[in-house]
Amino acid sequence: MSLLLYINGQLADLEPGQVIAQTRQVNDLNSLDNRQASYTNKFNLPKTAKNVKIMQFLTMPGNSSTIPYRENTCSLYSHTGECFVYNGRAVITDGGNAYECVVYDGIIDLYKAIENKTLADLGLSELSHDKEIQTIVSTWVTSNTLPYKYIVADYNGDTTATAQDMLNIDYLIPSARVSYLWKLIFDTYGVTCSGSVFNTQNFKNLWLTFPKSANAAETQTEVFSSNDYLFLPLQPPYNDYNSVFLDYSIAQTNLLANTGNRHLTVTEQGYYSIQISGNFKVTNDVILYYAKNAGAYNLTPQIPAPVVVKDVLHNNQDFSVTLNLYLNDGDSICFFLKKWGNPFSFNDDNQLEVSMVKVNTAVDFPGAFKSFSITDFLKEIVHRFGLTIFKDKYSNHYEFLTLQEVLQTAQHADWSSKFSKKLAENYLYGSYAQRNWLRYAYNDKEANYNDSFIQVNNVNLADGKDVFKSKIYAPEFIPSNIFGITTNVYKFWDREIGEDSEGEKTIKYKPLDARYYLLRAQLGFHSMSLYSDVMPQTQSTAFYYRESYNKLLFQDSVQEYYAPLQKILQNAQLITAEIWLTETDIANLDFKKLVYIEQLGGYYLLNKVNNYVPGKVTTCELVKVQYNDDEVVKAITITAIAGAGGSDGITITYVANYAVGTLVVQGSQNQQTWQNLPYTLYSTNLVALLPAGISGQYYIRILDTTNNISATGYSLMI
Amino acid sequence: MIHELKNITPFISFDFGITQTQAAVSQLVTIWLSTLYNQEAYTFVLSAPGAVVTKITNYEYFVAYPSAGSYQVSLTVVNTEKTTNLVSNILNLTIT
Repeated sequence: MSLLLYINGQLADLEPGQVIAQTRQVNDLNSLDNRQASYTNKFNLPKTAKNVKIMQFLTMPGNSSTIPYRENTCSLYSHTGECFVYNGRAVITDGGNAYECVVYDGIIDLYKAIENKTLADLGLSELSHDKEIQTIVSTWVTSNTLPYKYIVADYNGDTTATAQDMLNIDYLIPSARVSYLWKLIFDTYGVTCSGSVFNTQNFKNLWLTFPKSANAAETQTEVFSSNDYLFLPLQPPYNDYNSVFLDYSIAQTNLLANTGNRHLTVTEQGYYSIQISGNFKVTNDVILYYAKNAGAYNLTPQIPAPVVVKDVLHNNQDFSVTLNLYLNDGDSICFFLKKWGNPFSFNDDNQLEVSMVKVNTAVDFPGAFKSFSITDFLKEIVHRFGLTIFKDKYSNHYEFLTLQEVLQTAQHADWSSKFSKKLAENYLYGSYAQRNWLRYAYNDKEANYNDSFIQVNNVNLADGKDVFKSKIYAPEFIPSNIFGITTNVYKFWDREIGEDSEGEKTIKYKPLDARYYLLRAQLGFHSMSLYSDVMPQTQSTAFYYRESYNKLLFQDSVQEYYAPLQKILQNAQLITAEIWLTETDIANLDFKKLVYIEQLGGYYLLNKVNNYVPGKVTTCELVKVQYNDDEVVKAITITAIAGAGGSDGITITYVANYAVGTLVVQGSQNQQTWQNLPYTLYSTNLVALLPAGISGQYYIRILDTTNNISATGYSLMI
Repeated sequence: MIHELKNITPFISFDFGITQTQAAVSQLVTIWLSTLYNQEAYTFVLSAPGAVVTKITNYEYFVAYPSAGSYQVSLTVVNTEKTTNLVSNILNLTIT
């Protein structure tokens, strides 16, 4: 039976009777570590004239063929016209007398498309913005349209002012909407995707932080610095002044023009921070002013609406002031000392130092996201949500399904008439251990408090292994408090405690890099004022978005998305069987359908089709799944909570579909740090006492410590 | 096991698992279905008497009530084989 092989749109010559064994798979349940493509065994392509031409004369003297290095689209058909592979990829190497070829298809296209690409390759222009107070507030007002948001949390920066209902925006970190990045990946590479998970709140309200400090004060550019000065009166009498310009002889730069030695004209719009310090030896008190765009005035009294920088400078007084301004391109600024009515003069030994920096408010998502590969991002989503990828054979559409969705399918294929014989029945799953860990990254390298594992109760397996090591950091174990509400700490600064010259405690905030966190945004209400240490504006708001870590523990992922797999693994039956598959069966193979085999007495997930050769019996791997509910997934669910708390406690009504063991009631304000609550067990409910002094959002859960089962956190507003 | 998964009870909530909340008249309130179903095998019907319902997806709905009062919302998931009606928990919404 001959095959038809098209490489780059040209029909290739095959040896008469050429056999091409095909292995089909979408996601080997034997291994959670990766997702697999389908492939053929290596086969020979004779070096006929036609094949040599298709290969661009590869291996011929003087050839410059690119075939071994490029993507070669490839389709494989049976002689009856059944399509085995449509637009797969052929990898060609030289085998001496013939070319050697392996054909891949399935999810290989997606993984190849994003290979060696980072999130920065997506453009991300919609994420780029200037970090300003009004921008931050706008991310809260237009909550559903912008692809980024400033989510209020403790980023381990300076949050001291929150006690006075003030929020320093310099220590806020923006986050990108994960669903935006996800869509952009597929749009960028010309593919589409679907999946229930992508419509859920768990996915739609998921945000990835900018990976480093976004504090403008830490990324400023010096545009001017001088301790060279003159006092330039330009107003008689020249010995006793009413006012003087501060005058500098510094040269012009590409960021600043020094007009008339006193008007500092900026060439770029933006925020500028100007520090003025010194000590004047003056005969009378003076006032330090600044004025914008006063270049037309030679005499300071003519300058309209000067602004006080430092009121009343006494003789021989050390001073230091910082002025934060927004200047447009071409705006100038000058400083002058003035004293109405009382002329003053200078003695010797005055000191003056002026420096001006441009504050960099630009948040460069593309630059920062260069360190996150798209492959890692895809893996993060696939593992976090327990997804299997199904590629549509004839289009670039990928469907992402959980195992639960696959098992719920109404469709199945009856292979009873194709069944030949059972070769083996295995109980150990290839690469599993007893505990198969999903792990976060941690600032404390020894920590593991947000990790969780998929349990396999088989003592013959190894103790444990890591099936997924996330690039995402877990927040700190000990939460913090902002505006009276417990908040997780997403560390972007290390705090270095020191002392100043007067023995006062000082804190330096040392920025950290490459810290990716996932978090959620939750609407909150609190009247506060937003401010910055380096920008002049303030703004009040009564609402904001604060962080939530709801369902972001890997324990939640395991419970929510891996429960069916865990169930399968408890009594893992991997059947290897010989099946008579036809060309039509292979061409229309659908891994989303369950397989029913009467002789084996049940339903199976098709795990792998090994080395299919037309006209021969094929070895298939089948994973047994229980159809009926004789083995029920054990679950506890809190159905209601009543009562006002206090000494009367709260009454927790719950249902369990099995005989529960020892129960523990726990409470949490952030669903990350849980504390045991005292409770009394009654026949149909529990009465638990809440901790004193809590308010706001609070979560209750029940743990069955005997069976290692927990109820999902039940939300209360206290 | 499959039978169990096919008949898993839908869980709906407002944000982050909250099952009771308050809102103003005409205010859009989002309701989320968090239980996953094979969308080729089920249909989804939100029951919110008195509300204007906007279905975003099978997993997300906006409801808005034109008048004050106490309301209940639930969701029914129907197997396309028409063999099973799976009724969710009930959400309590007070409109002021």
